[in-house]
Amino acid sequence: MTRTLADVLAGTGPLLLDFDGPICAVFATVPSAEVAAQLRHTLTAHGAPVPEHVAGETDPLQVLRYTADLEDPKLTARVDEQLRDAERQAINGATPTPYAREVIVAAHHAGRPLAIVSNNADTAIWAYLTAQRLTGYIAHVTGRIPGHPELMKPHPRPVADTIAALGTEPAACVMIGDSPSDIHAARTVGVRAIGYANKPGKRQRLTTAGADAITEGSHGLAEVARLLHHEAHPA
Amino acid sequence: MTSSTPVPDYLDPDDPRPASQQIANVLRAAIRTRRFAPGERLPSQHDLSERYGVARETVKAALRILRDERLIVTRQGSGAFVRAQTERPVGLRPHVEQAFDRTNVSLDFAGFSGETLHGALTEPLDKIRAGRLTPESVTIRILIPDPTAPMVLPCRAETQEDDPAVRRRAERITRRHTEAVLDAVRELGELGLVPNATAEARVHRAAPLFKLYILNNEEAFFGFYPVVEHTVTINGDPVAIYDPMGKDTTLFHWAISDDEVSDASAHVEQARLWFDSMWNTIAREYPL
Repeated sequence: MTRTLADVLAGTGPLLLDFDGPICAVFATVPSAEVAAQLRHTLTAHGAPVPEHVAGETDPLQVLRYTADLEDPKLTARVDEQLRDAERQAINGATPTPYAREVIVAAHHAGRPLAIVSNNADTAIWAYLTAQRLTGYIAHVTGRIPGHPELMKPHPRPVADTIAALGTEPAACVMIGDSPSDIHAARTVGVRAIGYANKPGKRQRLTTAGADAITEGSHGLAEVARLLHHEAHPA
Repeated sequence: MTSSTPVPDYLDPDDPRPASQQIANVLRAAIRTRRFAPGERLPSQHDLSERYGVARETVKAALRILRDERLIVTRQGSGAFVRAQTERPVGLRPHVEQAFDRTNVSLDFAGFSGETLHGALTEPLDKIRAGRLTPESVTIRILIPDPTAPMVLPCRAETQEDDPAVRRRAERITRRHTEAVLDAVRELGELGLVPNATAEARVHRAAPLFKLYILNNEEAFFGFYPVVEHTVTINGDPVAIYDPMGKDTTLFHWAISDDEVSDASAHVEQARLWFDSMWNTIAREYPL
């Protein structure tokens, strides 16, 4: 049973944001399927097996996650680095998510510390924030730990690390993410989670994952921004 | 003179320093401790020379020290005033009000919205309406950005581009304040309270980066507009914009002084020159 956005935001401070989805579309101009294929090519070149479910995968992060299962640290590090480079390239063509900037700016003026908790490479994230003149608003960025894709969300570690870096408590925080892994990671640590259902069918999956509230649609973040704006500028 | 004034009645007879330095010291202390408020007039040269039993030249030397320290401004014929340098727009008000205590009043404003101007004019215009001020002429010129043309500031933060919706919001604010001032001044003329009342606004297509007030061609206030990002609500939607923010900006204050070659006099002269040059060249009629 989900609650209202206002209800979930109320009484929280620091805002944790997933990156790809809630802030921008990383692979907007460089197709993610192409990057996934390049990573598979590296696996094949190293004689690693590529089962059917990986062969059809269009998400490069899922290919990386599979690589970790092979328990070949060198290969994992290599694929991770290859993806890191690809993300850094793709970020130049990333498209901002509608109302993401408004969420960030309004949260800043409302006095809420902001952090990004992402499975993407922190280099790409910082490059995006710099290009968008947003670095001044972001207190901390947690990207994936190089060579350790097994510690990506839904593993709770990125969320826990972020909270430690902010010097705050899980119960004081609220996280916005668009995938069940964000919701799982947040809820495991004890952070409230808002599911951003930016695609049809996501509402159900995010709710099942344990989201405290859901915001839906291509303008889904507008309502979050509106609530934070009113928090920053009480009538 | 009573002892309740902000400065002592006597100088210390055992102080070996020159009297001019001692007078400067007591005045400085009174200014720093706010016994004289920013914008307040100091005792006249005549009063000070009588009080301390010194020559007018000695008092002038003391005031020169404070002027060099930028603690006071001296105005032709009206005395020395505590500088309002660190003041917020509230520091502008007493000067605007004082500026209206003249037979012929002029005020030039260049800036973004005219909100501070509108606020500062409320009281003197009320006083004219109440018959407590009776200037023969009031001339107000307002120079602001053209809201009908694309603007680089304010703009949509995400794209750093002009956005007609953002511009319309700025225009509503500007129009409200500008038209209120124009209407109020013209009304004083129509009512015959000011025989010669003129108020005009013109627009230009440069970005508003600073605000400038010129009072009676003798005093200038100047403040930068820092560019800030904030969210505003446009048609119910939150929008992050880059906006020139003048509300809390420090206003620098210069006044033409008896000292013809002073830096402050040059500032006022150059401000007038700039304003007139804009007004008479690229400025256009205010679009209705």
